[in-house]
Amino acid sequence: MLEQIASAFEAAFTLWNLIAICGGIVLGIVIGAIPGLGSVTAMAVLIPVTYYMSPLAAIAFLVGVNKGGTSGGAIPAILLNSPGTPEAAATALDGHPMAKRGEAKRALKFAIFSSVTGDMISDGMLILLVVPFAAVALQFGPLEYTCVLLFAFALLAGITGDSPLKGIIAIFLGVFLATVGLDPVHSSQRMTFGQVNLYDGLSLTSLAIGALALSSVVIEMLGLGRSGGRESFSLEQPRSGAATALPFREFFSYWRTILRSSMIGSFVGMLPGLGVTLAAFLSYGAARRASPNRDRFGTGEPEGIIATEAANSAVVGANLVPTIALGIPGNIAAALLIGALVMHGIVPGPFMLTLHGDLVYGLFASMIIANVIHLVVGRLGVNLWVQFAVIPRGVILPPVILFCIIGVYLPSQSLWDVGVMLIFAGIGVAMARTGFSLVCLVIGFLLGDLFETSLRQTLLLYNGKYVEAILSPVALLFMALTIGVMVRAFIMARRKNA
Amino acid sequence: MTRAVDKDRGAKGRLDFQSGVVLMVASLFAIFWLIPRNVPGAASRGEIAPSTFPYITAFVVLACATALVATNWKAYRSTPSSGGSRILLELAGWVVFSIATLALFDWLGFVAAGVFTTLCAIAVTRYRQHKWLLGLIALGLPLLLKLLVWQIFSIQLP
Repeated sequence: MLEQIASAFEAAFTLWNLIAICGGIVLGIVIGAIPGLGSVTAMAVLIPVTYYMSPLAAIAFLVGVNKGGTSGGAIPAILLNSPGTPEAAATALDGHPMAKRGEAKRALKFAIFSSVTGDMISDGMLILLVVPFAAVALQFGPLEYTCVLLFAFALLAGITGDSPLKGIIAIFLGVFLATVGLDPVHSSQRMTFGQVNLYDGLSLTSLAIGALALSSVVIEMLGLGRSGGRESFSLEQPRSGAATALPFREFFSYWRTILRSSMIGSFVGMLPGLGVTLAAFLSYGAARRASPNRDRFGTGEPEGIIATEAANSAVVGANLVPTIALGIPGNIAAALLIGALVMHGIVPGPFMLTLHGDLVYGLFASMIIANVIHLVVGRLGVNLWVQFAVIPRGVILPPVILFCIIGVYLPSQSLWDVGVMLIFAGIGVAMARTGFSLVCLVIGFLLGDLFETSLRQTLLLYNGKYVEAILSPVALLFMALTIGVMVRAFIMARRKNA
Repeated sequence: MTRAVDKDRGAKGRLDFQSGVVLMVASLFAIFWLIPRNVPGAASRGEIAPSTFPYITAFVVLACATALVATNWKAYRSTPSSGGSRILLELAGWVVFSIATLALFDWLGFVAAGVFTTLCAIAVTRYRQHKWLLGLIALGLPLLLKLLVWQIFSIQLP
């Protein structure tokens, strides 16, 4: 194993590989920082660039884009309260209030340090767990999968929005929208109205960008308009002093949150389908529950940023566990990575470790190197990123609609997707105004296919023999947890309204 | 102070009630028209129909929306205003804007649609400083983006 790692670092330490990683991270941060684009769009539009690279450099480049894009989403979330990526939505909850009180630079440092630390822990777990994970996950049947997904839904409905009831509605609206398109078993058309564009279902990118990024920008613009075009917070950010400094000692004083969030991110990342956004919100909820400063969450508490950024970056490494071990993408970014691997003649799955062991370990080494480069680039760039805060929102918000249109149009080159994005931006505005969680909607949509497939397989498998289903200890555990989480969420909501 | 908090909670409850009614109508529409007419049933006995899962999700939404209506009934009766009409107005504005953007994109291309969307956004924000910069962004950015997309990705925007 040590020999393999040493030779992997040798393969990864080539000039072209380092340029590819560095270029990927810089492009990822820049594109991730533009609200409405994010790492998925960045990866989608940059895959053609990797045609001309070696397989290792190509995959390292895309991993760099993903890492940079994931952390880059935090920049507009903190500075503009407009998350560049869906997963950065939770970062805005505490990052933006910090920026409002003149601590934008400190908030950005918290975000970048947490991102890199979460990434590093997750990459370590990937290297250690990729083989054993394949063995365990293969034991999960559809019943266990259904119960894990129900548990995830319950957690999500319990922690986001102002009522668990509204959380459940938003999730199942998302799941319902995911049923549009061809049926996964029979391939019969469902609610397509004869439209070829709907055969593949609604585009996740259009839905996510519309409902999360564009709707948030529209709400910001309407708010700015209502205030007569006057900025609602001071745009002057101090260039130096206590409000900008973040000593390592202070950052690592939150080691419990860092570790917990990295573990949550890694765990969520290892389960296919449970993506970055879920990890970020689960981690945020866990940090809030565990913190003695829980009342300060949402008002500019650094732990909120740490929890979100460490978790969402930890997903990047961990989602390669099912991707490499099983060939099942952990999320959309991993699905794009699979596409790039196939383009280079490599089929991910159980045989990848034996057939392309050098490449896999070379990728692991590249990921470690990418973390170091990410820290340097992210830290040096803070002075540049913070300049976003001194640009008036009245100037920076209008062009974001254009970036959203281009971000959705480029991958598919379809006006249909732009239309879908605009529809979901409208729905997003209405949902945000009425207190329904948009993140629940998007996650419900993202996991809808997986939920349906596993539920249908369960129903077929245990056709009438439900006693056998009850005997599965993993399923029982997750069902009990689901009920517990929901009961607790309803009791808490009732107390809040009493 | 207590009265103000109660009033806020009442307005929220009234809005929740109204949202619940909209969702109830939408889920009933899905259950009785959308799914039966647009999703095929089971082809043979013992098979799980493609419509099963959409029905399950629609029923869950209906049940939760009914619960939302029931729990906020009192607030609806006791609070006169909730801000629901403002949301409808915003939505109507967004629908008009979206149709105009798509029509311009389709008929005249990205640059025309880009100029239109940016000008609309500037009008909405009511930000009136740096007028020369705003003008430059509205007129120049769509053109610049079109050129950049062509140069970098070799994709011709309409």
